[in-house]
Amino acid sequence: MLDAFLSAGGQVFHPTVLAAMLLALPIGLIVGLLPGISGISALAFLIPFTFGMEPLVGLAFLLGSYTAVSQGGSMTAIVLGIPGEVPNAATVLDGYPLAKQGRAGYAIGAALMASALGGMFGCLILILLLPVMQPVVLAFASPENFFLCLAGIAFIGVLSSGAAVRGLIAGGLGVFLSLFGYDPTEGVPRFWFQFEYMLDGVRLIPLALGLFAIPEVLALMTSGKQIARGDSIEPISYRQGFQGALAVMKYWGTSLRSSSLGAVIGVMPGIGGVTATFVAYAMARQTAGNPETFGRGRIEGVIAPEAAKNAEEGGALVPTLALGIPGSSSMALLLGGFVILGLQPGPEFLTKHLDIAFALAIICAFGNVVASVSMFMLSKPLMHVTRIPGRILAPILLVLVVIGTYSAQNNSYDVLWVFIFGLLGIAMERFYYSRAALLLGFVLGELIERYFLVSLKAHGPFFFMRPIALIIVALVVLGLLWPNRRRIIGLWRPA
Amino acid sequence: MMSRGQIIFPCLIFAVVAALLASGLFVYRYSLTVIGFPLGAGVFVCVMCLIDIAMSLTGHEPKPPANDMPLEPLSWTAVAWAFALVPFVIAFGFVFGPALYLLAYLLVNGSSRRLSAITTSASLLVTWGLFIQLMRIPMPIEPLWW
Repeated sequence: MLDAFLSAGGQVFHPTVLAAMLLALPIGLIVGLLPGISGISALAFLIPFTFGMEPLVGLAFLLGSYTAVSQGGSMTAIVLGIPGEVPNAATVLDGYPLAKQGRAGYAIGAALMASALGGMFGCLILILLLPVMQPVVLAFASPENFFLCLAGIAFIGVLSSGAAVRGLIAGGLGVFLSLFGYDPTEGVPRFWFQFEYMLDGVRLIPLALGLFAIPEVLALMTSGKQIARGDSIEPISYRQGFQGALAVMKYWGTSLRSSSLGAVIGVMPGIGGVTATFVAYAMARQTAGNPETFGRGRIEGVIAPEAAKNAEEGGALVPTLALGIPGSSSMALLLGGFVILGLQPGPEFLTKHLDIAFALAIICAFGNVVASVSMFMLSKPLMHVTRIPGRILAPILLVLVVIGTYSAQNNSYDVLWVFIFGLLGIAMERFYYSRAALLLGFVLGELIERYFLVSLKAHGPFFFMRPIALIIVALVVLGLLWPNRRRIIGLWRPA
Repeated sequence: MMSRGQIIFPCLIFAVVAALLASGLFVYRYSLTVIGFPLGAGVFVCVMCLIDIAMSLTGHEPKPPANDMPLEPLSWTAVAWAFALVPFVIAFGFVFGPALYLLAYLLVNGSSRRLSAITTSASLLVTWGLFIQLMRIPMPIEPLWW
C-alpha cells in the first residue's frame, strides 16, 4: 500500500498532470462564481476535452476544476449573499452579514482556509478508508440512510431557534414541496396538475436561488446603496483575509467536527453536500456559546459549512472509487469521465489501480489548496464588489441569477419559479421563517420518503432494529441534548 | 406591534397546503402509499400554522432580536423592476433580453450612458460568448414567444 501511495505521489507531481490541473482550476473558479452553475456544469463542459488524454492527466483536469468550483461559490455567497452552488447557501447565513458589516475579507479568509483544510481532511479520509471501505459503505443500507436523513431533519429545530414554530413550518413546507412529482415506489406523479414541468417536482436550484438571492437583490434595488454599510467598515485589505484564516485555527474544534461530519456524509451515497453544510452549521450553532448571535455574522457560521462542504467532496469519492456507486450527480458524471478514460471504478479498480485512486485523493487535496490560494489572490477585487452602489449592482446580479438558473437545466420555467420562490423568500425573511430550514427539509424530504419505503419493503416494520441505525439515533439525541448537558446532569444529581 | 402579515402569511401557507392535499385526496384520489408522506408533512405544516396563528393572535409571535439590523421596507418600484426582467427575456430572448433590461434599468435609474453601454456590452459578452459559445449552453437567442 505504501508503494502505491509513493507511486501516486510521483505521478501527481509529474509536470503534465500538474499542468492539466492548473489549466482546469481557473475554469472551475469562473464557473463557481456564476450563480446556479454547479460543479456538474464544469465537469460536463470539460469532459469532451479529455478524449485522448492519459487517464491520470484527464482525471486531474476534471478534478482540478471540480474542486475549484465550490471556492468560487463561497465567494458569491459571502460577498453578494447569492450562493454559487446550492450547498453554499449555508455560508450565506453568516458570511453575508459579515460582508454587510464591511468584514467580507475576514469571512473570505475563514471560508478559504476552512475549505482548504476541510478538503485536505476529506482526502485524508479517502486515502485512509479506500482500502477498507467496501464493507463500511455496504453496511449502510436504506434503514441507516433513512436515520441519517432523519438526523438531518432533527437539526431543523436548531436552525430556527428563536422562532421554533416558524422554523418547523419552514422545514415541514420544505419536506412537503420535495414530495411533488413522481412518487418513488409506484411512479405516480403527485400534484402536477397536468403541467409537464411539474412531473419532476419542484427543482432545487430555482428554490435555493429564489429563497436566498432574490430577497438580497430586491433589498439592494430598494436601497440603492452598497452592500457594506456598517458603522465600522474596515478598509479593503488582505489583512482581513489573514485574520479570517487565523480564526479557523482559533475555532479548530468547529473546523474538525464539521470536516468529520462532511466526510461521513460524503461517504454515504446520495445524501449530499447540502445536508452536510446545513447540518454542520446547525452543529456549530448547537455547540457554540451565544447561539442566538448566529445569522448575524458569526465566523463559526462560515467555517462550519465551508469545512463540511469540501470534506464531503473527498468523502463522496470513496463510494465512487471503491464501489463504482456515484455519491452525487457530479460523481455520476465523473464516473462517465473514468469510463471515457478507459477506467472502471469499483472493487476491482482498487486492486488494479490503487495508485491512481491515491493519486486522485492527492489531486483533490492539492486542488483544494491551490484553489483556495488562487481565490485568496482574487479576494481583494471581489471585496470591492461590496462597495459598488446597489442601483448598479442589483440588476447585474439579477441577470446573473436568471441566466444561471436557466443554465442549470436549460428550462425557461425555472426562471419563473425563481421569482415565485423569491416572493416566498422575501416573506419568510420578513416574518422570521428560517429559509435554511426550508432548504434542508426540501433536500431531505424526498430522501426520507424513498429510504423509508425501501426499508419497509426490504426489512419489514422493524427495520430500525439494526445496530448502526440505533447508533445514529443515539448520536443524534446526544448531539441535540449536548448544549443542555449540565441541566440534564443536574436533574440526575440528588438535591 | 403585530403586523397583519404575521397572520396572513401562515394563513396563506395553510390554505395552499390544505388545498393541495384536498386535491390529492378528493380530486386525483391518490392511493395511501402515494399520498402518505405528503399527507403527513402537509398535516404537520397545517397544524404548526394554526399554532403560529394562535400565538400571533395572543401576542406571542417571535420578535426580532434587539440588536438585529432592521430590514428596510421594499419599494414597489424595485419589485416591479425586478419582475420586469421576465417580460424582457420573453420578448427578446436570453441574450438580448437581459442586455436591454440592464440598459433600460441603468439609464432610468440615473447611471451614465457610458456605464450603461459598457454593462450592456458585458452582458452580451457573458451570455453569448461565455454561456452559448464557450460553455455550449443551449440558451434561446430568439424571443421566447417566437
